[in-house]
Amino acid sequence: MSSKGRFSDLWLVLSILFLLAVGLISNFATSYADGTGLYYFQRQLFWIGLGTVLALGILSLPLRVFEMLAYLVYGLSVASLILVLVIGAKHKGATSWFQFGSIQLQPSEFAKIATLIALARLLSENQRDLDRAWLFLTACALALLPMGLILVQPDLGTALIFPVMLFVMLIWAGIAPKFLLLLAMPAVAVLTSWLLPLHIAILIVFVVVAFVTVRNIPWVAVLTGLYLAFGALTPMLWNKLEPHQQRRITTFLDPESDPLGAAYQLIQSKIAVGSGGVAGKGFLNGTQTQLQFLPEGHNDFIFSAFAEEWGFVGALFVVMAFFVLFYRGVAIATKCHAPFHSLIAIGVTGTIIFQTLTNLLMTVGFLPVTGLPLPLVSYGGSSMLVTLAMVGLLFSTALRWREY
Amino acid sequence: MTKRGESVRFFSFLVFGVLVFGLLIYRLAQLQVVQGPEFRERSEENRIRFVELLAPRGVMRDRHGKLLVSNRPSYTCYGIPRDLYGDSLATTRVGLALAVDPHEIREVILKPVRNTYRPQRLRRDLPYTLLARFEELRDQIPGAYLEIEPKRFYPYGVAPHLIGYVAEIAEEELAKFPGLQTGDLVGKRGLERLYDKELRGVKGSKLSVVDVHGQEVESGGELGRVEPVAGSELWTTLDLDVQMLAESLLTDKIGSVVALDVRTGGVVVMASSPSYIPDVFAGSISSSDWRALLSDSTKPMLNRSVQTMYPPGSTIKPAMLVEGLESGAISPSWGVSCPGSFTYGNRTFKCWKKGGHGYVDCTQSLAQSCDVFYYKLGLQLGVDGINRAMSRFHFGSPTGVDQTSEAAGLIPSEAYYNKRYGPNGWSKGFVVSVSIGQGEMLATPVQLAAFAGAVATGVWRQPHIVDGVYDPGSRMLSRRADFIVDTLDLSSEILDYARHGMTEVVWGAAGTARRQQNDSLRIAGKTGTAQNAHGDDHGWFICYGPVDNPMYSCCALIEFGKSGSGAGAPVAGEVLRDLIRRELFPDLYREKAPEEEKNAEQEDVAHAGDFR
Repeated sequence: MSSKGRFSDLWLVLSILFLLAVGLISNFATSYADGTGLYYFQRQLFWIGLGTVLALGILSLPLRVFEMLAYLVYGLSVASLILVLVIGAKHKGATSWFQFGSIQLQPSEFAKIATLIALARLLSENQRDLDRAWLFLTACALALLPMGLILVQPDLGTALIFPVMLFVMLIWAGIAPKFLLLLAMPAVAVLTSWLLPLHIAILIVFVVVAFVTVRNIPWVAVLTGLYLAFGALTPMLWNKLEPHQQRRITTFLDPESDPLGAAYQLIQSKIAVGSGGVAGKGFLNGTQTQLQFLPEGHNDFIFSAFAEEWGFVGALFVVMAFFVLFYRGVAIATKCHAPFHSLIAIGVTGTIIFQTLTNLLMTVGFLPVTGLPLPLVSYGGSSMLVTLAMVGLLFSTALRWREY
Repeated sequence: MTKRGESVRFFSFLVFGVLVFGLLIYRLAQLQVVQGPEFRERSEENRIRFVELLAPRGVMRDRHGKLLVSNRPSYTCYGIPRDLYGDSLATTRVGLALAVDPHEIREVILKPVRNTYRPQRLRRDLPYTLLARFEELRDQIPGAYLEIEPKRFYPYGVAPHLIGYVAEIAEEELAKFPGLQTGDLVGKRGLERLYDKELRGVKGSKLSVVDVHGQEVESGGELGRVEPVAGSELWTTLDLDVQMLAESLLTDKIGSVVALDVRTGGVVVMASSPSYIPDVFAGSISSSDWRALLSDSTKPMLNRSVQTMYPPGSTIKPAMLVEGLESGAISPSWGVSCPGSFTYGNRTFKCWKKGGHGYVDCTQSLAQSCDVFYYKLGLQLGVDGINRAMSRFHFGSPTGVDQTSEAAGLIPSEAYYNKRYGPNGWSKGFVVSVSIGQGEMLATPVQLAAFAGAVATGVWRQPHIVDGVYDPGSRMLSRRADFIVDTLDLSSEILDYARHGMTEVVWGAAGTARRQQNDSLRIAGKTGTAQNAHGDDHGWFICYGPVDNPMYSCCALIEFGKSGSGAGAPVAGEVLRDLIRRELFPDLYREKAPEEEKNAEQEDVAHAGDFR
């Protein structure tokens, strides 16, 4: 049993090292054409080094420490999110950076890890109250507060991670399904409010199924009310927005409406990925990448650049590496005895994999452009540090799975 | 959680993951394996080009809907840096074809973006001669192509000062106009500047596939297109025909004509001379043309109607009379005996009429423009009394007419003199020459036109040029209504003295502008002759009419015109009478219309068809 466990974690380590290497060579390749290749390579290497030290530090500490400090760290992180709105630097229209000399730090990245630990502590300490409203509401508040602050910046992509993290951890903790519905109904209502027949149809199906299965009339009434309220509120709020705010959202949902920005990126990304073919064009030979057709090549679209030069074979390796991360993460979470450990493991896995899938499905044209980087691969200091710190936490739970 | 529960949870997560990762792999296989060769081809001839489509700027119309400014198509040459930069022979050829320095094309335009396929504008508004040359060389210049873009067109070339012009945005202006980029056109002066946001419209774009030569692929080349949105129209209060008349009256003169509709404050005529041909700015102005315009000593770029301050001379006498009567400094029966000069302290001030006017009362003081009357009145009012007289009619501050860089003019006050000369550095004698609009006092033609209107109606109205902004897309017209209307709080008895005096200027036997008598139209006015340190005196005339039912006011200034009656009055009088006649007898003018409209846009021809 133990030897098998170690062997499996070796796969996890190999996958992560592979992804970091992919990131390094892709950063070099995407900025090779304008002569800054080595610069990005070195910076990325620096962040990986720093992140590894951080991860090893986390690994060496007992998880108990994180459990104890959870709420303190969370509080500091929320404070830094407020601070960045006041004194932060502007970059591409969003106020999300602290500038320290030549180094920029993004508190929203650190808020992810702080929220994750706080949620894990809250849910593991109160397992008996999983069907109580207070616990559900507190968990929601913990996740939605930083999300709200990040939405103000505005950084829609990063903000989206929080409800997903919340949802995954609530399911994993075994929250009462009625609360999951409470979380899902407003989301469904907002998403379908633009299409009235669908909106109504979903409501009818829900009411019928709820009556047949649960028969808890007050509860069904609350959910229906919530659904209708959000459905009605969305168009009203929409009309209150300024045209440029509306445009930001329509572009987010439908990049074709902005051919200058998002659609151009998506088309170029698809050409880059597709033209890679089975075997790829070869290192530094990707025309899309080298001729700078591909925007944000070392950032959001780094996978497209890699897929162009390394083809379906290379892309498959990357996808499989992420799948190993996913599979091992869920397995570790299942194996852990302590609920806190287990929730940490699933939270880390869920967060990283959600970002991965959002990014990859975007580069192949299945999702709108969200601005989420590819974990472990994309260029970026804060993102790399936090991802490696999360990986450190995951390893820590894998190492300490026997603890109670 | 039970063991079974745990494994259910594990397997449901796993199934979810397998499905989504499976979808991803399926998609990758579809793009890379199935469609791979197709995409490979596309990336090799690459070329998706993103082209901005310029929005036509909003047109400007006169009060009858005739076009003052519109747009016409022009050819702009674009170059693809990636194709052109590496080929020095091609850049040389492009430079020759476009008559642009090839070195500038290579080093300034192309070099910073040499590795991209983003089209760069090489030259706007190619003239036909160059167009032919470019077409000849086209096959030898891969990566250069022409786009049709809207360009400003001035059907009559009227009122360039007031309309202003557009030109490429300057680097230092970029911060002031969020959303604009280097190379975009922006209004620089006049209405083009003030209403830039309304006129601009929204750029469109198209995404198209181009072949190796940079030409759009013929079928299915266009992948997506967002139409540009035309800018809003400016509906002005100008009258094109009378504006043209005023400009022709100013030919070979230096000066200005402003006419207002006294019932609304709308500017019907605003002409300034010398003028320039607005077309020089329509594309990209050559630097030699630009230098010539700027260095011309007569300053043709200056809108003299609002940007230049002159001593107003005797034209302000009605304001002085009104203040004298209103403040009680003089009574309506007051009068002076004019011997031809006036001595104050040790200085002697002359009346313009050497022999003197004899006895003059209030009416005759205006009709004959007696200076001695106003020297004495000015001394009674004092410098601050004169300041009140003028401030009442909004002299000394910009009128707020929608023009750029409007001058405020100047009315001296005690505070001003104390500041300028020190508390003991000036004497009451300074007031004497200010009383007849000389000395420190300065005003602009538009201020005087508004003043004439205020005397005529008893209400000062803010002059304005644009009274509506019309969006042709949504068919929405927003009327401007934020104009200042100052009911002057003057009794009509007091104003009637000024009006009567101004009527006598034209109709009195000794009136200074009696040559303006016209049997059919009774207009009132006031001449002014302002001393000029640089040469002959400037000639002013302000007027309004008809006397019983004022419709328009007009002000003319002729620099070096020698006298108001000789230079200003014929111009202002003719413009004012033309305006009134057009309103009272529109039929007289309609018959001429189709003739005049020959060159105008189709819309206007259709409009003219009503009375053919």
